[in-house]
Amino acid sequence: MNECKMHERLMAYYDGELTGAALSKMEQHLLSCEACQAELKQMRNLSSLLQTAPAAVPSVSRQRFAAQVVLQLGPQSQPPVARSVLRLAWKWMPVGLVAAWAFVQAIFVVAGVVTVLGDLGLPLDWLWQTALDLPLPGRPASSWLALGQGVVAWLWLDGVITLALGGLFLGWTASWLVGRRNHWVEKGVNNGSL
Amino acid sequence: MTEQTQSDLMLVQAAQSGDRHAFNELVCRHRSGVVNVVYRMCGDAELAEEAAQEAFLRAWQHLPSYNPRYAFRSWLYRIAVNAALDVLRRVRPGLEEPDELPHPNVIQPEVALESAQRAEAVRKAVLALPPACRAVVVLREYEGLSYQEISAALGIPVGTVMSRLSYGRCQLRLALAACLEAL
Repeated sequence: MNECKMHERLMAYYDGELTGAALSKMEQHLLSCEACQAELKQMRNLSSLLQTAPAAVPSVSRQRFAAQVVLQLGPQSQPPVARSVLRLAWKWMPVGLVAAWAFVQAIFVVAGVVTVLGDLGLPLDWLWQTALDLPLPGRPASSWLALGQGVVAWLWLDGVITLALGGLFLGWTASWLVGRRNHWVEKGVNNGSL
Repeated sequence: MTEQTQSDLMLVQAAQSGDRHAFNELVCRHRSGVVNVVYRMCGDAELAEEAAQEAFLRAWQHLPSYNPRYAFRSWLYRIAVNAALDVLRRVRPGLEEPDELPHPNVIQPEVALESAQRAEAVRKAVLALPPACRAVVVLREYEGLSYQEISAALGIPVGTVMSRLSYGRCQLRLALAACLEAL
């Protein structure tokens, strides 16, 4: 039994799963650890031995096998509606996120413009009085303070919303990249072996 | 783009829409891999062919549910492993009968016989592994899948892949100790 503390990582090294610093560390370790060297040799011997068992010899050609399969094909099962909807939603998620962000920004911009117009003395009294009760020129200084606090609150809220939408967007992008990586791996396998 | 250079993904998308020619091409591409996986899982060439056909038929049936975010090969191997296990459950009593050994028609018959016996010992040792463990060993040792790919193919965490692989190799080393010493 190999009692070496690196023993647990040896199998991952053998299977080509280590990269970067972990790989270098293991390679360095193997130069001096006889127990791990012996274990590695045993793993190689086992793999060689396993390869001595021949693969199945097909009784029919590839094309004939495929033709036999295709002849037996029945109807395809339809994916559940909920799953289809979820898949569609996932596919269009980045567009939705950008649209949501643009919508929020538009609201803030319009609200900001209306506020400034009001500050400039344009006749928007009806808007303030009916909707927001924000300060107008000529009102007390406390009203201006309230306006400033309101703007800060808006900016803070805008930041939080942008961060949340941006986080979701990054998460979706990372997931998409993982999916593309799987696709590239598969493509590489196909080019190499089939 | 010619038929040969079409990626699996394009073929899968076409097959998902019911294109049987596209599926025919997918079967041609993945037949040897699937047959090998099921053969290593059940140890019988005839059963392997039957299980491989079953796997492709199931793949066709469930193709509309396939999520292209995952590698098609991993998805297909998952179906193949399950098909092999189902076939094994159906015909387990006859499983002990070994396949016909390869013909020792090489120049040195003793060497050929020894090689055939070793291959048979390997086949039996692999078959003696618990199915869940055997699937991991087969996908790693014979199909060369990475831990991540095995994890996706079998729907288990990478840590479980590693522990099953470690256990499987340990059992194989014990079972094949005599053959390993002779190497």
